[in-house]
Amino acid sequence: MSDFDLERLGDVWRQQPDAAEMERLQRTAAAVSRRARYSQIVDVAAAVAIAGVVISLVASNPRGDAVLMGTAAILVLLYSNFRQRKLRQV
Amino acid sequence: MEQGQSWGTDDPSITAAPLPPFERIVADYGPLITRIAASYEADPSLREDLTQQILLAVWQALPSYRADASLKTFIARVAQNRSISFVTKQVRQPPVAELPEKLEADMPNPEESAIEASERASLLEATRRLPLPQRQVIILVLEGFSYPEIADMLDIAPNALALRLSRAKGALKSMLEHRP
Repeated sequence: MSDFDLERLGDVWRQQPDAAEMERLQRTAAAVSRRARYSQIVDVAAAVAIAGVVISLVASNPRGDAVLMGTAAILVLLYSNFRQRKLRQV
Repeated sequence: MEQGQSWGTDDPSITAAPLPPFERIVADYGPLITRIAASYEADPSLREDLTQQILLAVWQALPSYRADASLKTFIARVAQNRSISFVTKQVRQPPVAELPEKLEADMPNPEESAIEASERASLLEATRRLPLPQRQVIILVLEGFSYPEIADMLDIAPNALALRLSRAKGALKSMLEHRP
């Protein structure tokens, strides 16, 4: 099979989908992007809520070890959030 | 715009244009995504699932796009990676399925279009029969990527690419010649 043949096959391969299929794809894409935005908001909101709870617990019991544990918990939370986002981008 | 226009560049001196909105990206590169999904999954409902996963992966990966390659290359890479992990998770080879019904329906010019659709369906079917590494290469060649781009996308040496491509071409040729 020569490269010329592959070029011709490429032309056959790259035929555009029909309008109905494209419309369906656009609808799917809109739904996917809505869901992704929503779950991103939920992720951030959950992280903020957990951080808030940790801060309020530490504030109600301001001992050295509590501050240390609270800070560590928030750092772990931030790291896991960041890492999750990075992993999704692969 | 699918062919030709690109949002990224290999030349670092050229400033990349800001990314277009997701809807525009889907309009421009949707056909590419559809074709890649179709070449990895024959079952229509699983294909729909795979297409959704690819779209989600593209949406999530877009912030990491650095314009060191064209957007088309970036999207094809994401789509290929997602498709491979999808079929791997299925723990089965995609069935050499019934031809997609759509290819033979909705034809404007019955005779000519039927021949084209049948040729395309045969090509798609033959592509699905290839082992994954060969399939990856042949899909990217059919999509019009250059050999250096493909080697870069698959992270393999040019020699390895040439070998894989030669095997893929041989297998594809044999399948297309022996189709019923």
